[in-house]
Amino acid sequence: MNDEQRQIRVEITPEKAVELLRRLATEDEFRSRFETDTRGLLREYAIEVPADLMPADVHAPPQGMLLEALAALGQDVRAEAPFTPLAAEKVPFGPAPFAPFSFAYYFVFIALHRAEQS
Amino acid sequence: MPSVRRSPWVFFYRHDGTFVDVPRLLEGNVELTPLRRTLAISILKGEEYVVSADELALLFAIPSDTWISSDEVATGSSATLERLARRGLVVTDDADEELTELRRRDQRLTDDQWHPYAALYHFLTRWRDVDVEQLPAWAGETGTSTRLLNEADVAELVRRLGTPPRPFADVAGPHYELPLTRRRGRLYETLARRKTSRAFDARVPVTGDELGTVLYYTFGCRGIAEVFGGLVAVKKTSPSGGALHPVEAYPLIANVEGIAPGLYHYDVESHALRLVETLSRNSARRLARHLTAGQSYFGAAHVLVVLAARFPRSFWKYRRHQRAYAVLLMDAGHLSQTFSLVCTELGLGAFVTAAVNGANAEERLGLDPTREGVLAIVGCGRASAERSELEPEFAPFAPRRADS
Repeated sequence: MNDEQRQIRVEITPEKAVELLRRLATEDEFRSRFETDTRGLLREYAIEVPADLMPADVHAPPQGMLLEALAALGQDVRAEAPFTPLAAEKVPFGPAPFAPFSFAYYFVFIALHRAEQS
Repeated sequence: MPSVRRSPWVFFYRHDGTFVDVPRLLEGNVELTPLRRTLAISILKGEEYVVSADELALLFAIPSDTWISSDEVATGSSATLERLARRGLVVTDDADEELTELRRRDQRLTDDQWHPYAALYHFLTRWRDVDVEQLPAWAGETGTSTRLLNEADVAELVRRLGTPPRPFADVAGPHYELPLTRRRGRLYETLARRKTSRAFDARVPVTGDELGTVLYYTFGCRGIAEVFGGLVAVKKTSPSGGALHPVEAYPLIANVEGIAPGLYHYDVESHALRLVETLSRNSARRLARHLTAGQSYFGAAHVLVVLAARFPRSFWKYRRHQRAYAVLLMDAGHLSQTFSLVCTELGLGAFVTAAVNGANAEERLGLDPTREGVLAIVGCGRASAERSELEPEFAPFAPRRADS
């Protein structure tokens, strides 16, 4: 086997690089496959690792490290949402102090509005 | 050996980026390392590929405006040439099915007068099989595994990303306060009630009359005018560039009284539905969820309407025009607002989303993606009395006045 064949070839595109790290960070099944079918999985992402360069045991990195790497690449997984408000369930929208009293605030607004019109 | 030419529908860029060190990754560690590569963006495939210096030299040796024999360039590199052809970077006259399809797309984009930057944007941002609910399954320090964030997560995000931009722009200059007249009437009330609905009540179907009203008042033709030589302008309730109205409506019906669940085309000329595919109610819901990229709350709507632009309708007039594609997106936006207002007036909940699996929708509808492409999906249904957890609780807002 010559030197060229023994090199790790990395032809992953920027978008696929983010996808690979994101899935490693967030999908348990994907992490398991990374550990059991490493070469096959990496090949799907255009990364060729010669068999003799493979370590005996492969362990998926800790999720926190991967998320930090993603953040360093400008991809913060937590900020992503399909064009929906970030945190509607637990974080009140609007000025936080008013949110629990928004109904009362509404009636005050209506009263002020009517006074303005009269 | 077949004849070849480089596809003109290819862009190249040099990417100086960062990736993890692969040997360290295999050891279970994450270490970032520089990764510099040249990428070829194939519009025909909607993909980008890393290309080596040798591949790049071969690509540049092949002209895009003239067919040449592959013998002239591929001495000892026929495998490389075939790889480039299957990536849509080179087109060939080979009879192979995949290569024939790529050659057809190449010719179609040229014949239909696509602007190269519009094609680049459209075909490289199309989604296929994306499921947004799978993407950010966060399992961070807080132990939550949901993409809904709690207060600590938001604080952490602000620490990482910086303070979010203010909701209102600050523009310096003299300040002229405007009269604020509170208008009454159906239009103003409907505008005030408009909102995005993400919770639907499956127990009560939408009626056929309601669906007909929504489709007619959003997509129906209100007037036609033959401008010249067979070019017919169309008047609808929304504006459209050149009065061309190239956006077609494809209702995906899950729960409408008197209309079988299925995928349809709204025939504007006869105000009728033409069946594309019959579905069961459950399979219609599954398809709705899939086409809206896993947004289960939209998948539960009674009706979705896939908005797809007939590109030649626009590009016949706006030939290789730099702004034509932007106008198509605007057309879809206008239609979505009209759709939303008509639904609001009828007491139906409505939404629009651009997070859609357009490639899947086009395949399901049997569209040729070079000629007709999905831009967005709108939907409506009987709104549930319960508020969606994704719906913010908006506090009333009044403009700040100088004397307040």
